[in-house]
Amino acid sequence: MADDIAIGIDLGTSYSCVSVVQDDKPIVIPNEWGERTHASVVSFLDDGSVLVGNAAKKNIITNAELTVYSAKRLIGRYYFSDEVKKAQAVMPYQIVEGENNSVRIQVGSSTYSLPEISALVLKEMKAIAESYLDREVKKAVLTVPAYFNDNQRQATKDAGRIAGLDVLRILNEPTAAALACGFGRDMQQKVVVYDLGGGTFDVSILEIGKDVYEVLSTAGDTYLGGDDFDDRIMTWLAEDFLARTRLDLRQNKYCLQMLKEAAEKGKIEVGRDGVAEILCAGICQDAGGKVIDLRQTLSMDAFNKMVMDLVQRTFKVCDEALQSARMTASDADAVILVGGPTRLPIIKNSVRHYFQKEPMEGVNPDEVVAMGAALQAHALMDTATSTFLVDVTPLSLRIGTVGGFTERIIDKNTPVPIDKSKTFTTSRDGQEKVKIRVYQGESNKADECEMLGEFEFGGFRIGYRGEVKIEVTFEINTDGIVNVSAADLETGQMTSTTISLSSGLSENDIQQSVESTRQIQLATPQDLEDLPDLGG
Amino acid sequence: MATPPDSGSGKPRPGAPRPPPGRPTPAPPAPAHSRSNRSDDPPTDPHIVPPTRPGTPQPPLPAIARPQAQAGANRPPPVLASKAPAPAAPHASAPVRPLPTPVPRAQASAPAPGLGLDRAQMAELEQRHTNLDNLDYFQLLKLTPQASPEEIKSAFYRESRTYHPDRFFHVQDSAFKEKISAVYKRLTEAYYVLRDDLKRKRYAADVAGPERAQKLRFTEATEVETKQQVKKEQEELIGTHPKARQFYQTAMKDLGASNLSAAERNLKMALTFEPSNARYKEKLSEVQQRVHEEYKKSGQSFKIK
Repeated sequence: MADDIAIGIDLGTSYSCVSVVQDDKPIVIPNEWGERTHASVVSFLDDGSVLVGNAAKKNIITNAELTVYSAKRLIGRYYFSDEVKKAQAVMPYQIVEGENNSVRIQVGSSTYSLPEISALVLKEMKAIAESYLDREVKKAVLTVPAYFNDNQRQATKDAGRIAGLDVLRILNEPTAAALACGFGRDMQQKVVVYDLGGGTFDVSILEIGKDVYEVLSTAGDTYLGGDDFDDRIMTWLAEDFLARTRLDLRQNKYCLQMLKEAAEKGKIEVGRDGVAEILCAGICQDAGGKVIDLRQTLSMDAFNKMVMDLVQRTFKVCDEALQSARMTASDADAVILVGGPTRLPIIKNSVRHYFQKEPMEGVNPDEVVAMGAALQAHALMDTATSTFLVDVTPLSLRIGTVGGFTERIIDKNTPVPIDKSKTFTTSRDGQEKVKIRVYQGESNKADECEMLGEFEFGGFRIGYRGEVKIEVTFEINTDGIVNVSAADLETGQMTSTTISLSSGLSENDIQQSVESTRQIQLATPQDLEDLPDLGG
Repeated sequence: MATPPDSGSGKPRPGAPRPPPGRPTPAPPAPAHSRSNRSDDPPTDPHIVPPTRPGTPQPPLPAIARPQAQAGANRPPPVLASKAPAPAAPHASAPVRPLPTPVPRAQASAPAPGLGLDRAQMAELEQRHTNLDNLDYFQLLKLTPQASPEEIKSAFYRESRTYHPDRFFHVQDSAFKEKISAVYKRLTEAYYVLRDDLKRKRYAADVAGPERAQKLRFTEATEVETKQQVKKEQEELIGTHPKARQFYQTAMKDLGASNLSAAERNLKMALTFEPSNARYKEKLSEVQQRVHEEYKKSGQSFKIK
């Protein structure tokens, strides 16, 4: 048992990080070039090999159509969702529709599911850990934003499996951050984790005791992150450029990528130095063929004005989390900042003002999540675990009722694991199947919630209507993943379940992906051309 | 889903000749060369394809495909080997897989060192698991119905120290884990209900009532019911009849301005529209009381003058 090892991976929207516990301390594993965080970018090269990480990030501009980034924004989403439409407008790679409203990425002649793309990132993390530790690694704890729904969690877990990892746990990022911050410190207090990542925003409130980490509440916005700050700068640059040159940079995906890169750099610079000089040399040519540079100066004030509403949105989420925990902002004993964008002075100052507290010192916002994941991985492998974790489900679990409405089964911020049963009866004589649609969300209208799937139960007794009672049990496990099972109440016999209408991958798909993703790695360039579609 | 080479059943039997991941294979490929590949020369770019060397054989692969064989051959501990199939084998096959470890069998008789519970705790787990549907939340957390919120919290923490499923993550015995999980889920449920004042009040009334047997698990009111409940309470607070509400509000204003006789008059008017409103009656009697006192007071002062 002691020989077994498990790592923690923070699979981020923009950057990923991998960590392991050595000598009872979590350490971040650098790659062979000493980099501690790795761009979550997958670039498909001409020869069929796949490049992942910071090197791949450079290809976003030069190899734009074959380089996939920010995949986490799309994972576990339906093709018709707003986020996917938005991504289609700005991403240089091709987003296409797959089976069951799923999202696929078209790369050359192949299509990939989102879990397959993320699996490539995870494989890289696994490889980094393996070469550092000089041994194989098969087990990992993966982190997800606390506000991820079941589809997104499931898809992330699938990605881990496709990457050849035994996913011990899907851990919420703010919870992981709190674990890492609480580690080795004797904290007995209420802690707020403010986690602004590349693409998502989460707030979790935890009560940390001597040996317990209890999440009191969590709230979030999976459509808000550092990328949105970049977008603001991009829009400003492009509009300004349009006004001056009458050329719209947003019409061209190549220009758009340069703009994005410049915006991201500008954001970091303005946060660090208070002012940013933005220069995109030779971003485009005018009608006469003259090469034009884009040159701008971004001041702190101008930047703060651009993003003020985004910052305010994060505090609405904080309000919600505090309310669920029945606390006020000043009740928090400590605030932990997580995620690269929290380095920005505007965020730091606003947080200080809102909570009337200095954010906790000595926390690396890029690495703390991975370290927490490593700690949890270590704890799960260890027989003598002394601390325990009580997390909550971020969203209410609902079932569809007549007329497009839903009824709540399990409330948000309920501690997990938990289960709840509900009895259904047949509505027709001789009915053989019962169908239940399961949703997650806070609205009683079905179309305002996220559908997790349609479950069909069969194999129970056949009888007159109303006579057969089926008890359906909804379970949310420690991964925050929903399981649904049903039993005939009278005979106690478990019924068979099939899930239709879900964007997730079936067991078959996963096995196929495991195979095909493995073949990608093996394949010589010619072989890759012959591969069938990977989408399944 | 469209063209699965293997039909259904979730059994990984892919066309590739390579053994599926994680399955302990009877004749694993020689582990020696994967070792040399990965670790003997780490300084020279052991695994990543840098952009400049696209033609090299894909290095991440050995990391994924070969070490598994190595795990089966090179690392003999049975515990590890039996755990290894987990990623590839779907859950369906888990309980029937023959387990090489003797640990799970030990559970029935001996104190079961591998399970992390002593004999008394094992007995308690058994007893609680079989009794799960006969215990109310207070009994489950070993509390009296008068327990304070702090006691509820510390009781839940205390039980978590014993029954939290993470403590038993490494245990192979799925029947045992199932029991732990069932008990722990009920414990979180108990904690969730009892820490919330409103839910606790409802639950305490439920289990004290005649339908106790059916109400041992908290049955939450549906959203529609909750809304109706809130509406009813509000109506009681401010009244159902619009005219009555108007008079009541005027009365409250009068009261604020210490105009007692006007308040009394308006409350009486409100009661003509809603004769049974308890709140109106209560207010009226309160106002009348005050009017009476005022009258007495003014009477006294009059006498002194």
